[in-house]
Amino acid sequence: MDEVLIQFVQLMRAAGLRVSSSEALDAMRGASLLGLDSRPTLKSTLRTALIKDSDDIATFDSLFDYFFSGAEGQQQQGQGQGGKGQQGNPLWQRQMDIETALRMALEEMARRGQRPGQLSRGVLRGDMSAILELMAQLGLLGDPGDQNGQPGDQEGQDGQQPGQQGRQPGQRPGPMQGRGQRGASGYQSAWDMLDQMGWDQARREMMQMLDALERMGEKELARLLRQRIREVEELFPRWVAAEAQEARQQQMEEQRQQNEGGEGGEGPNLQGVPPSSQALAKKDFSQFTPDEIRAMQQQVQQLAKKLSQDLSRRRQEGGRKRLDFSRTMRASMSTNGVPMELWFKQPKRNRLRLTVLCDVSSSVRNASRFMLQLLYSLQEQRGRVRSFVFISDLSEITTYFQTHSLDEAVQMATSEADIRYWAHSDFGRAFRIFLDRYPDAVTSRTTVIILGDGRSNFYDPQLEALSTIHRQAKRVLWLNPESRWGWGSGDSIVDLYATECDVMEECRNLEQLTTIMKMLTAEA
Amino acid sequence: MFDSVEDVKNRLFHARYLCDDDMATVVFLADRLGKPLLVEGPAGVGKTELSKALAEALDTELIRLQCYEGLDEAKALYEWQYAKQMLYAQVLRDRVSQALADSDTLRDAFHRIADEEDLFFNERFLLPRPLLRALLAERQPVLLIDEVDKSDPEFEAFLLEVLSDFQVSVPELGTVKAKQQPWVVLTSNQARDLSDALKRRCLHLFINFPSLESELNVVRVRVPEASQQLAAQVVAFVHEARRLALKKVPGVSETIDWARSLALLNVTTLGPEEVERTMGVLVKYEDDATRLQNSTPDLLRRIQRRLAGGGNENAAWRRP
Repeated sequence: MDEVLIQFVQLMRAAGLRVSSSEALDAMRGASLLGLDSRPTLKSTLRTALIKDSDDIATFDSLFDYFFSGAEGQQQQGQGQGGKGQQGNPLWQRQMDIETALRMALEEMARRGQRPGQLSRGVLRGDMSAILELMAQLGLLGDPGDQNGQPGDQEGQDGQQPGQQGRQPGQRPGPMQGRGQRGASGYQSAWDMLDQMGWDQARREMMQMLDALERMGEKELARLLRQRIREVEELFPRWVAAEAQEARQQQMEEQRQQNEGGEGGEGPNLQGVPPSSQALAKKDFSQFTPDEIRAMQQQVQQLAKKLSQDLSRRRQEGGRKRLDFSRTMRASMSTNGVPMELWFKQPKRNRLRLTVLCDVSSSVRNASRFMLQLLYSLQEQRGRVRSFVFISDLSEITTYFQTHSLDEAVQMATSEADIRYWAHSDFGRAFRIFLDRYPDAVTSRTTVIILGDGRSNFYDPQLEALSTIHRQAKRVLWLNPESRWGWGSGDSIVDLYATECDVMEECRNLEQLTTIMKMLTAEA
Repeated sequence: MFDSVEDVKNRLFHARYLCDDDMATVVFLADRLGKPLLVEGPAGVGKTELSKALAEALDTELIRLQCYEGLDEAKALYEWQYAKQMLYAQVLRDRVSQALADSDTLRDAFHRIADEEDLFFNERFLLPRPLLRALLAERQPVLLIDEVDKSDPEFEAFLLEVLSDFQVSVPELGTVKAKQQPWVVLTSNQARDLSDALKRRCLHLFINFPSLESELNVVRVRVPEASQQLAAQVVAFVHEARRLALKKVPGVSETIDWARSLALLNVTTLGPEEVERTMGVLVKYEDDATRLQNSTPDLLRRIQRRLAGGGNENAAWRRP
């Protein structure tokens, strides 16, 4: 039984769920307590021991059904064998049946000169190591060792790699339209990986095997195989997605280690983002599809929730209460100088004062959308947040957030604020207007965040305006949704502006946004 | 100790808590494996209630630690009763001077005092807080650590330490080890993600809003004074109301409170007027109240259709 559970845990890990060995142990102890007889009980047992995040429950459920399906139906057969090791196990039995079905189908197909590939055989058998091997051969696992051999690898890199922006021409066929998501950000989507592995071909082959079995009149085995194929078709793409993400994460990790010592020592902390959506977190803002934008909204809100919690948390000074000595002495007067009552200093509450200038020109539209959403949620909190949008004019939108729902407010900010939306970006002018019209928006306790790509169409940069803001504010942060490699090229004057900012950071995806905002709340 | 999953269900039922097989299985496992149970889910689905029912089912004491921002070890574990120590020191001042009167040197006096210092740091002056109380309890208590997501990460780390060893060290007294490992229930509203380490240590239970039938059963058990018809209407109405975009979705606890209030007012059939009068029990925000009020006629019509047509809405549609 334990072996089956270990296999299941491995499957869960392969699907991207984190399972520690102590949890696996709990699952085994629980299962031995309650037995494998009842599937619902086993499911509850494994879920409570292995899944600690309600977001993962859906994944778990489908994995469980995939792995243990048919176990119940086949139980009678299994019991007949008297529980002798694996032979008595219904799961094992099912696996054996599938092997039989496969073998028969392959023999039948061989008679007709057909030979299915490694992938279709591997997935049906559930032989993940064979598939990993195949992926490694294709260079899909992003092993840094053999990068040069495989054109596919180039795409597997993290977006910050030098030379990413200028994609080498001719190195690979053009991006597949419609579902391909590779591009400037340059990571390989699960669909691309599936394509390269020949998933379509494998699916055809699986249907051929099914046909072969039916031709042979093996109804029962055909039924089993059809069930298996259905499971596989649903689950395998997910598994690949998880694998692809794993590979990316590893690269990020390596990247970070290389960057260590430079700025940004703090790694992106993605604990708040459910693993199933981590791929989204690393995706470039500019590449989002409408569906993903919706999915993203939730995450942004989650982030805002976490941030505001960090913000409202009392600042513990050195983690200990401090004695308010004078107050204690005063109180001791009434007890003849004996300090019967101790008074402590009240820990200070963090209060973030944030003023945000958000470029809403079309080049950075998605990034500013998410920023606005984040602001909306932050504004509901105690801290003081003032929000402005600009292109060439600049206008305050704080009140939109107070009076409208999130969607309406973001919509209004990106299309109905009192600015000319068709104008060319002019950062200098926007800063000047900001100073002239809203002198009270920046105080010595304000953190100013500017979101924009700094492409000012060769207008006067008005650096002294930003310099004034910098002088007045506690801090100026510039978030740039453009890739670092484009900074300073063409009409980009971020290098100039960077001299008047405390921090200028690339902010192209949720992960980077999270890191920056965390840093902000940590220091607030 | 529970004997079986069935036993969990039965005993919780006697404590007027209805649980399904899944929940009963999880509770049974937590009991047998001696693991803390981490219960998550939306507000008002009976997370806290579960531990109360557990304490009742196990016939033991429920010790509750309510978490909040800024909760620290002192408030969770123990505090020295400073004022009492001070008072004793004052009262005994003369006695102390007497005792030291014949000491020749300062050093001698110092040592004499030092020998007695345990007097002022013994259990008499220790004020046990929930965690320590749970460790010191004679009979295995149920320790409810409520809304653990509200506490600070530092406190969570401390909690982890306590939950792994079930012992704490009080510097002045030494280590206190649990006489009985308490039955621990942690609840969380997922306001903040808990650390992986804490999650790993616990068994996890996610409670969601119950189905119509289960909730009806809960109301019947909890509010026996409500008529069958009223109970069915109330539950159906709440289920419909949960679909509205409300700020605070009414939980099972609100359903129970509402049914109870309506029964108290001798309502037997739910109508627009009754809903309006008692709405405050169900929704807690001004905006929500307005929204609910606007859709009340619609909701009532729908539940009527549902209850009359046995859930077959299409049939009702054809009967204009």
